[in-house]
Amino acid sequence: MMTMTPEVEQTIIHYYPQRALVSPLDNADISWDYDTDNRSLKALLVDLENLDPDLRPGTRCNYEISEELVLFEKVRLQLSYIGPFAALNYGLPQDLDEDGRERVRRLESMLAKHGFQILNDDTLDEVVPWIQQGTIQNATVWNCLFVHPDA
Amino acid sequence: MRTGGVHKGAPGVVAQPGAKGQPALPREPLGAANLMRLVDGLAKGYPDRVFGTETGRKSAEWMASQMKAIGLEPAVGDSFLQAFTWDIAGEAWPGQNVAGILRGTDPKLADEFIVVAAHHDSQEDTRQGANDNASGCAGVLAIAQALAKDPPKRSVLFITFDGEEGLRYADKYQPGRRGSKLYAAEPLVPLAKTALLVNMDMIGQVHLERGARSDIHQWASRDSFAKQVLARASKATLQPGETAVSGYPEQHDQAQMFSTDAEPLYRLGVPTVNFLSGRDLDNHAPEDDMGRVIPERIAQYAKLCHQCVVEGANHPESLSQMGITPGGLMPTYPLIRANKSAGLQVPEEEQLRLTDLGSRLPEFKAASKALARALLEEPAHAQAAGIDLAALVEAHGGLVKEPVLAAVRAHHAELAAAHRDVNKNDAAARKPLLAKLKATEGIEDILSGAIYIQKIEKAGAYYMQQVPERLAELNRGARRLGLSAALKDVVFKHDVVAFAPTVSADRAVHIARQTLAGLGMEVGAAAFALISPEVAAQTEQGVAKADLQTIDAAILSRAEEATGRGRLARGACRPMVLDAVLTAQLSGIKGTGAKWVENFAAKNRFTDFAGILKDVAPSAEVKAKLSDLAEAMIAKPSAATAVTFYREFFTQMAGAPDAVQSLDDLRGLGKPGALTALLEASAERARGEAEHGVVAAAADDPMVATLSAIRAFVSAAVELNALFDQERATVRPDVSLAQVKAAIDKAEATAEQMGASDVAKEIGAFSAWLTPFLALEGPAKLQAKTRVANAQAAQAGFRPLWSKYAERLPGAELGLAAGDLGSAINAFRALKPKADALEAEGRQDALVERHMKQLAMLATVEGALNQLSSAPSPKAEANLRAAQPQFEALMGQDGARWLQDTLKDLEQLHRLDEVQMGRGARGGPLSVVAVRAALGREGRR
Repeated sequence: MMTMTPEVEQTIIHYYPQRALVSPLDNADISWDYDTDNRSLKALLVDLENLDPDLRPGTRCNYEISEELVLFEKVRLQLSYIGPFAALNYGLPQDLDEDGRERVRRLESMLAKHGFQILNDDTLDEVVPWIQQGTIQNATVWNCLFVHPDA
Repeated sequence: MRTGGVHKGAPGVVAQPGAKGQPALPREPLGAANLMRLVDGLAKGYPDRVFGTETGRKSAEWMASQMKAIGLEPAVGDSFLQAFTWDIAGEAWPGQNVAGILRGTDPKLADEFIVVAAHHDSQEDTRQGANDNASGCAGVLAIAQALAKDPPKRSVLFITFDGEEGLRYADKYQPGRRGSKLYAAEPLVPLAKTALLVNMDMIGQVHLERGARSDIHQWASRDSFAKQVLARASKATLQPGETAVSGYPEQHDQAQMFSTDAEPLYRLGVPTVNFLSGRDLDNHAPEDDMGRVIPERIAQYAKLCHQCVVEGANHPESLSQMGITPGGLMPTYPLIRANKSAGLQVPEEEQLRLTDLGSRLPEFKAASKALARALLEEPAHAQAAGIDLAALVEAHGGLVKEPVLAAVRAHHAELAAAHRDVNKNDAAARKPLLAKLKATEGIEDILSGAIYIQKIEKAGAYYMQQVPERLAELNRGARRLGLSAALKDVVFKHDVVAFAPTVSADRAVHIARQTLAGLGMEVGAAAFALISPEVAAQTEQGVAKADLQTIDAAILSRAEEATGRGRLARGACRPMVLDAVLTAQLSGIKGTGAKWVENFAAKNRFTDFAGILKDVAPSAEVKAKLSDLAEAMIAKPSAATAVTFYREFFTQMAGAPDAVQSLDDLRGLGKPGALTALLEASAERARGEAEHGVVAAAADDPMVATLSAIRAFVSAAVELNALFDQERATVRPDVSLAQVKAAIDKAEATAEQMGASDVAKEIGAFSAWLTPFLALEGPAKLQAKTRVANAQAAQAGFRPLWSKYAERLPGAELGLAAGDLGSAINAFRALKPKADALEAEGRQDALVERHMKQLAMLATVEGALNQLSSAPSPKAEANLRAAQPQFEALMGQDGARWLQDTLKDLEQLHRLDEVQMGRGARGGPLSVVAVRAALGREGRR
């Protein structure tokens, strides 16, 4: 079942024109037209730091197409550089207590306010059928928007 | 009561009485002299203050007297003592917590509390227990003295717990923390309003010989508020040359929470800062006397604790503004709190993995150490990151510890910020930064993983659950820095899969089902109160279907009257019956009385009652009384005033039926009034279609509408109550949580319709609470079935293979099938001794022959399965297929279907491998060997 939205699909087609999962940074023909100067990202960061002053960078990214932030010690927020997309605690156990859930709700509402689309695990796990070459076959939405394999 | 040490009399430790009746407070409460006086007062005044002893009791009274002298408000009614018992070997031993309150000064924050705690009992093997824990009690009293002089914004509860120390009794060790557990179950201030716990256990013997505050154990909970409080307090009280404390939440030593009184509240989600020190000396020994308490250290530590309380108590944001909800999932319901706490255990399914990882802990430690060493020995890694790692480590005593990791993280944050300043299209500028970031992240991952794993002292502890995540960090870091060889043959793919949520689905559902049983009783009792509050107060039973008849009768009577289709006869006024009916209508409708009375008044005109009373009241005294009641009812229409009036009115009118008649006549209705109709309804009730027709025809009648609303709520309560097994205090086994939720929602809707908003809100909270459990019910059922099936499979010897498959296949159906197979094989195996016995008897009949044949077939099937289990290969699969006829003969059609499904599953696994492992290019389906390799380490070793 396809859960990819048209925005996600168009973003992937734009940044992976050769149908290969390779870093867009290595393709000089690609125009990075989303949030070029990271203005949106920085505006979000200001609010996130108010939400959790102890926010820190995570290490699950490679900074090519996304970066990760750790909030409240256990919430991992992945922010894509190539589109207004975010992932929360992807692939990690959802064992938040009531406090944690409330904080995630606040975080989700803040991301929505800044125009970020939060992608759920089903969407992130979806294989992108037209990516046929590159570091792996069967690249998923997660691979295309957030973290290339072996990052 | 046990006998214990002799009370030698405690010296007075509070300063001279204050002026003008003010409490006596020392000039420098947090000074060493005052603290040592307080320690001395408890330690030497009450040695051997073991739980349950006379001295223990007196030491609690002494603590209470100190709190009183400070001017604290008693926290338990007019007493400072919270009494409880500890059941040891069937004997109830008495204990006392001691608690006093200092009210906050900010009207908006004063209803929130900081809890400042220590334990006042001592351990059996010690004498004075000076450090453990007269020092903590001195801290509590000194902080109270200091804050009494300058009260903070929030209120503060000062409490010392009894029974913290465990006891040996009848050759058994009885774990302690009884007073704090009792407090968690019966808090003296609302848990939902408890902003912070500051617990002190041994603060008199802080070791600063190495000159670093980082050697002190100070632990904040995971909550960012507690962490902020500790960080701010630490910064504010740092002495020249000291470094900041290191007790931050990621450390596995958070387990220290679980050996102190901090545990019960911490588990319930209360932000906690726990102070614990002196563990390098034997605190449970006679040597723990006054000589062990170091005056300057206890003063230094008490100031830090005091500052924590001040930071927490004066924080300007309320709990709701901070998004903190202490007390867990359902703060208003104690049972879920207890069960939530119990649910922190590792699920059974994950316990096996935990054990496996624990057994390999030495390998992980050695590998992570080697990895960290490789990182330090090759400067190129640090150079690539742009960080002087060697100097950092050197600056921290040559040890790879948290401060080094913190510095690397800070560097990481700087690089990330710099990277955000570069235009995304500027690849040339980004790439060097990316290389630095990659190296920095590699170092950070290795340090984080290695530090954590090195700190684990023993396998099986709860913090082992984080090991997969830490191993993933090590893997990732090693890969980034090209050091993966260090982890080869140590960390496998399956090891880095995070553990499932801490509460398994079936356990969570079990908790929910048990918890809801209480709700059935509560709503049932609320509905019962509508019918008879007096009886409801005396019974724990909920409403039953029979109770609805009373209401049905009232509705019918009123409807007959309203439509003029009634068959009601006039009768004498019967106050007893009337009282019951009025009670049914009015007294239970808490919060809805005004609305109900409004409807009622529209039809019955209370002013007429008041008017008629003036003429018919039997005496001036009664007349005046009824008049007053009527006026009160008119002035303030409510259920309470109406009931009071009607009860008195009809009690007085008992002997004057004409009065009731004249009342109706006066009202000009020309037919039986509502009151008379309700009265007579108890004597004559018609049933059947005609009745329903009458009620339907009178649907617009306000009285009928009101009574119908009540009836709907009572009916919903009856339905809800019927879903529970009251004896077992849980939901009936044949009832799903979805059904319970539907019944709750109905009760909520009918309560709202009735106008009982408070009741509806309360019920609605349960509905919201229950919602997440609904999604767990399906998995829980499968989980429970799988568990049984897996146990059967394990008994038959096939668990390892099939449980591995079950993990990979949707629905775990294979695990269930494996269980069925295991069960069948066990049954056939049981034939063997029977067949042997028959053979020994020399019998050669058909039964023996059948048994022997079955055993032979079993041997074939078992052989094929064992082969697949122990050495999986295409050939083993082929052998299993070849054994299919025997399989079918043994197990019939079900067995045949099982085998077919199994073989299909195997094919599906092949497909999964092709997709997930990317090995399809090799051509052809993969063997089970490849599956095993994908699943875990067996295939690689």
